[in-house]
Amino acid sequence: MAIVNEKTWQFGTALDPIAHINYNAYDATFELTASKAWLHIKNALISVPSSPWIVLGSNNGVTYGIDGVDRWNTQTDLKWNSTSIRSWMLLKQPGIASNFQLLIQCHISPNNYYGRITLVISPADGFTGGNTVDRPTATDELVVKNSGTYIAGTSANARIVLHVAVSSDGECTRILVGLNGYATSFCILDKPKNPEAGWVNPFVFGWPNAISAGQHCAEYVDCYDVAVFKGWINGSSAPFYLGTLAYGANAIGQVIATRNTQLNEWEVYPIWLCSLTSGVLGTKGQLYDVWWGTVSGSIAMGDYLMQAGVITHVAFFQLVFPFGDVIPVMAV
Amino acid sequence: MAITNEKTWQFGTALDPLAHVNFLGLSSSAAETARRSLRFIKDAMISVPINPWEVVGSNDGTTAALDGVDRWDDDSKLLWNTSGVRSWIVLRQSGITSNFQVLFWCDTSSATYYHIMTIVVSPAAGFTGGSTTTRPTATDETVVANRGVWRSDYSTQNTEAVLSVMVSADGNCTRVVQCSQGYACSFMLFDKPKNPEAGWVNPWAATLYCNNPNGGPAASYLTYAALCDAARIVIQIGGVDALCYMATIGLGANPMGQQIWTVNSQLNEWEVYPIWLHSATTGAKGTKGQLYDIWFDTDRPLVVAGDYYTQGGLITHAVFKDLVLPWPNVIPVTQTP
Repeated sequence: MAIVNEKTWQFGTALDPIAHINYNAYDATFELTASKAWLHIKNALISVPSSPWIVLGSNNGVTYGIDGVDRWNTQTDLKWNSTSIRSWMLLKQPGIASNFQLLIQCHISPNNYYGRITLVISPADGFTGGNTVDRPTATDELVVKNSGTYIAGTSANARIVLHVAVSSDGECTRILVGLNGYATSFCILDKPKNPEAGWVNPFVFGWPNAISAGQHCAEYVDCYDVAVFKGWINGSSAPFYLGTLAYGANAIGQVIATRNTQLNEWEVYPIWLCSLTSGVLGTKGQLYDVWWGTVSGSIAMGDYLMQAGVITHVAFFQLVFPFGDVIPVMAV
Repeated sequence: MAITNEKTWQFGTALDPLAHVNFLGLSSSAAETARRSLRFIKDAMISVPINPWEVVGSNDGTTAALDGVDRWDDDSKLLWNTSGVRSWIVLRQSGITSNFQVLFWCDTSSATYYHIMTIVVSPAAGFTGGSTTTRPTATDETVVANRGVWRSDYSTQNTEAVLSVMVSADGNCTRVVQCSQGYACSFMLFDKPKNPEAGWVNPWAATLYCNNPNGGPAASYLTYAALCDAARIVIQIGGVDALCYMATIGLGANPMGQQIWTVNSQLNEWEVYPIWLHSATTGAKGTKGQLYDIWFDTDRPLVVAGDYYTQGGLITHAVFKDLVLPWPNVIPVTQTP
């Protein structure tokens, strides 16, 4: 199946259209690396030219407020802790839902585990409250990471490279994290394609990560065999498998080891959001512009696809994402 | 996923809109049942009101010619044998390609095995030749079934058959289902695929799948195991004959439909799953297209052939074990009353 994007993708700003990919977040300490990474992610999200994320409020450990002020100006504005002062950032993306909000809190546990983060979503009601220690809360909030891992590893500094992309309509946000040439983690935060009828404020979120620094996470065994993505369907948390075309006991991409004979190109396969959880059972929608690739050893992490001489997509191990016209870097 | 047809379907004639479903093919002997059944299939294909199949030629064992004459005008004209005189008919469906032809040949592996026949397709060149004893051939032919089982008879048993034939109004799609003793046993398909791969000249897909255990059918055979785990759909692409799996949405170790045994929680309805054609055949590897208006069902324990779906109070789709097909507003019959 040929790769055709349905969205227009933004990888940078008007001044530097590919400014948000191949970003080296590595710094002298793990704390500095984590702060550099999240400062970049926030900056990338709010600076794409079309439908950027909007800052609703922030906390830099000294002052806080849901007042539209971005207090994350430098790495030192990100304070990390398990119980005491912890910075947070509140962002809004109307492209997903009219008042869709994402809260990022530098909440880690234990205190030297900078590969962890707390992420909370409010699809409609919005966050209120908060201070320099506690994060704001929302009546409809969904905690998608509670001091959860966003890169492989725990307390050891990591040479991570970041790739942030936002669709021009704001419906889709993707963050890819490479570590020593491995697909160590990735984030999809999207409004699904063709959401099931009746699904109010549909969204899907997932940030799977590898277990260790020498492993990939963007594999069939991580996201096709396991329901690691989530939606929030009318009050119920819905774990999603990233389903795709299959026959027999495998996805096609797991068994095809060669190119499509006639087209002389590697195939990619669209993705459905499938839930086997009681109460939210069913096929709930699709994902835009991300595909399962092939397991074949002929495709390596960071390989890229070209169309008309331009790099358009990257093989983030076994998943394929839109990419800017620059050779992907997956290791610092 | 909701069921929405992309085609308009014909199940009968203008005089009898439901004439081609729930047809009882059982007769006094295996030979008579086979003759009655195959003749019914032919009659149904050529008699739908819009874009019917056309008769290119036929052989009734006495006269053979590709002259547009339908000589299968009586059950007795269908003669099976392993050699010598064997009836055949060539049909054309320009809704698939401009000159898509199918040959049905009463060629069997034993003189009394009426549940066997040969089906050959020519997507463009067309058939020529043939006699009362030999079939026509085509330069671009693909043998879909070489002495393949098309009925659930075993040996010389005379097994009942309830036949259903449906043709889309644009002629793109033809499906034939046979049920017996309450089970879905046999499936034929002659289709123009949906979204065929770029560059595929004269895209078509065809199949004949049936099972015939000793003692008659004891289960439905139109299953994930038969059609998704094995490659049953024949195509020809780039000059290569290939077998395609009926691929569908999966996760983990199985298709979604094999893992979901209750209704969609929010929609409160059973899900069905679209079907793609995927070839693992050397020289034709890849995902080649989709099928219109046919779905895998959920493989729930209680689903049986003859279940149906309704929309707006009308029956719109029938369940043949793990397959779902468009259906008219009449209860599907899967065995003799």
